[in-house]
Amino acid sequence: MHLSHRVLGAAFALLALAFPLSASAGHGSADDASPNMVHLANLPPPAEFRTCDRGSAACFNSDLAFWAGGGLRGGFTEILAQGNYEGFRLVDISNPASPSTISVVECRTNQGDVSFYQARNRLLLIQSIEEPVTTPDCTTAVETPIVPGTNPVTGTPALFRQKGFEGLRIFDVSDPGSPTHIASVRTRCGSHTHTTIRDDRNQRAVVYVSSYPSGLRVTRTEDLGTLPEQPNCLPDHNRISIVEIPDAAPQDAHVLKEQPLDTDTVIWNATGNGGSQVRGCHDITVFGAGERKVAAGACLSEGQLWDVSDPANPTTDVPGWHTHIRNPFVTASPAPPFTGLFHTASFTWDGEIVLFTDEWQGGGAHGCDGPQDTRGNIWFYDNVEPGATAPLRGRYILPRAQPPSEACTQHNGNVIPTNDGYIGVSSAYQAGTTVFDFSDVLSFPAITDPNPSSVPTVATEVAYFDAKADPSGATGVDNAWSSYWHNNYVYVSSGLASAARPGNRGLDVYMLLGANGRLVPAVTDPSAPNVGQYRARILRYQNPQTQD
Amino acid sequence: MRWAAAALLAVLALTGCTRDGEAPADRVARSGTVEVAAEPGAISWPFAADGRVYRGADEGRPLAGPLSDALVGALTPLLVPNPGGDVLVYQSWSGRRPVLRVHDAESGRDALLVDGALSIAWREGRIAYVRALRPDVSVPKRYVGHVVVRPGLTGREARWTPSPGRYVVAAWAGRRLLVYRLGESWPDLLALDRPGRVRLLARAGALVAVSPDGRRAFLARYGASPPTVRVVEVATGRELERLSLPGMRWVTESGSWSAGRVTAATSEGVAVFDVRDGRLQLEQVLRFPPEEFQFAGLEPRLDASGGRVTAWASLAPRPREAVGAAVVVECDRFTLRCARSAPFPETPGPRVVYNPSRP
Repeated sequence: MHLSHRVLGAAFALLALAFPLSASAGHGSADDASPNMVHLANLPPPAEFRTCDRGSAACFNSDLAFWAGGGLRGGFTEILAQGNYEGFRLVDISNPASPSTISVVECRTNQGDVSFYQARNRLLLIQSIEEPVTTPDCTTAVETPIVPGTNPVTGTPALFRQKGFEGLRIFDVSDPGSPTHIASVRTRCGSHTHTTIRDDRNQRAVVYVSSYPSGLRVTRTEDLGTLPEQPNCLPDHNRISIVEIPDAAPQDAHVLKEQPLDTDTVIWNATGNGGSQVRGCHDITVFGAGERKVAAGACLSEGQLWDVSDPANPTTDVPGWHTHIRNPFVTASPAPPFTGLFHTASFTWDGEIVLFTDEWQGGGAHGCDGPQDTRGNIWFYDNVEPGATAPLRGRYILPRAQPPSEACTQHNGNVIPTNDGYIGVSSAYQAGTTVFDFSDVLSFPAITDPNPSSVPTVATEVAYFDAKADPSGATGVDNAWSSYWHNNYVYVSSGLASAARPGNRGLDVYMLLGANGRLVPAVTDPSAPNVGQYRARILRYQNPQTQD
Repeated sequence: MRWAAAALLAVLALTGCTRDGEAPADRVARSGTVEVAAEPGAISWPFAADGRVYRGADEGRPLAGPLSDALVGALTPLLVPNPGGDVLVYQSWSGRRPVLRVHDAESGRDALLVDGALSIAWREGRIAYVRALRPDVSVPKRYVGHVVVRPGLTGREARWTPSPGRYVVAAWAGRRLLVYRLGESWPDLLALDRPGRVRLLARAGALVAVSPDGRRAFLARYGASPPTVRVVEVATGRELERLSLPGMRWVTESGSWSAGRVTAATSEGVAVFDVRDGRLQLEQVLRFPPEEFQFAGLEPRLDASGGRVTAWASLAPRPREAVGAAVVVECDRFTLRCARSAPFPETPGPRVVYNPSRP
């Protein structure tokens, strides 16, 4: 009798959860994986997300957020939120080997990144809507149509998405079984992603909204006067929106201000339809607790560091108080073939290093060619005081060459909270999830002027899982959008659709194995007596964009 | 060298080696939803993306400057070939300014042609473009300049516009020049008969195509609902034919005129109009599967035989989020089957290589 990798993995996980590790991790299916990364569970997408009836054909799962901070009704102890272009779902992960969907909210977004925030005794879920939908209300919201118009900045005719609601929606999810939509906040150019920061001194959440006016997202001239309550999306943007959510009255959430980026921010190589230029941020990650906070902005053509100790007043445009990080392998200007994208940032938990992922060509191009390829890398910089020059230490790329049909990119990930070296987790679309050790990064010399011959790879892959078992079958193959370490497990969102599962793989849960309590070196014999589940610090909650 | 020969063939096709009015083979062109190949394949029509110019199954030839649609969008081709197909003038970007570059496919030489300039029309050796008064862009809507013409890749510029404005050169129509004038709303289409003589050809006018002899222009009207298309005489502006299209929401610029047919990008896909012998009839609509494409069929090129349509298309969102992805599709309009290129970032390309002016 042949047991599948997943069945063995799940059985192993249950054993591992109940007893000291003694069993063998099953392996040998068509999935491409390292022996120390065990697939525990797959939670298919809910029926509501298998039919895209509120917008374009996309019903993709997007980002994840985690909550284990208590205060949940219904007896739930640990949950995650999984965003989807059609809404979100809440999942009970109190038993990671057997996640179960608690509730599904159908509410058209577009991308739909999520975060949690506790406002007094209420747990809130905040979700991004990055392209216009017809209404903030969940019941009837659908994508607005694509219509001809003129670009308000260039005057050039093109196609645009008709103006509608875009920004943030806020839900009360204190009862995870019954989420309630309590507020909507309209932001300029919508919200591609957002970053939720606790501001305890002022008893509020401060939310940084990342957005940018590329492609269809520009508000056409013909819509500038319509729907006046919705800010127009005017190129080149070059700002973030800052939203305040008062603890006492989250339903009164509002835009606190629009914060300009520095005028020297590099223009992105992509344009808004009608030939307008684009500047803005794709994603922002905040590091630090208490009085001292720093933000890493993944701002399309460049990375930036800001002092956000006063979260409502980030030093984005304060001379001498912010850092520009430019990289000839990523920064688009001035010439091809450098068409990368600063996508997402994360920090080591000691604050020494900041990582930026490169979603090369926006994830729209062919696969990485192997270790020598400088596209689609993760880049490691010293996390300097904002204003100082941030030297580059090196890079990490998937050691496994990809076929041309896959996208060459590093997408969303985080760093494992441990004092035992630096270990990162990242999603790489069809290449699945990669776990990499960059503990020696500081031993490499600082590089202030990177050039093609002098940027070393400073990390090695120590675990990975690339689900390929049934490309046209019931589960689908990997297309990892977000891969995060959380409380001793790796959670992965999304996957390519298959005939039997039009809503993609859904959610996957993995466990890493270590030897003698360490992940490195990689386990080669899962049945060895010194092998066990690799563990790290437990967090009360985790919005991967906020490391506090 | 092989690439240059292939490009030559392509440009010969572009120029319409069959006389205007010749019908394609007597095959039936029916409207319908095309079937697009699932996997990327070779596209015979040249196009540019990712800093390279591709044709067929080749690996592409690199351009030295970035291809840029800044300030021009899809009003005008970004890469315009000479009659031999071995030289391209293309729209690029440098620092804070648009520039025109010239690329010689034969030698690989790629050099700056004009600094602070945008849009290209190239016919019988004469190159028209807009030269900015100040090359750096600060406020795009105030990026004004003059339409200028020079006798070739070298030679002195002659100013054709009496006053500066936000112009985008569209195409030569014989010895006349068709130019957009951008303003606060839809652009107007102007005809420049000679240096200093400017007249309005169509208010809110979208130039779909110029007839191969340069005497007629096929126009749509921006913002019209339902859309209406017209054939006008360029020399006089006189309307020759008109057709209302109540089943469509819009028809837009940058189509093609070949083999007695005009192709146009529309809300429904690529429309093919029969314009032989003074006719103006909607012959066919090639629709693209909405589950695969967000919008499709922009800058549709019809080959000299009248059988194949090449255009670019925006893919429906995929789990590749930062920018949309786009492909070039090449369709047999009789079998309704299409090849597709590999995906590329949606802006500024991929963009097909064409010359709406004809040599």
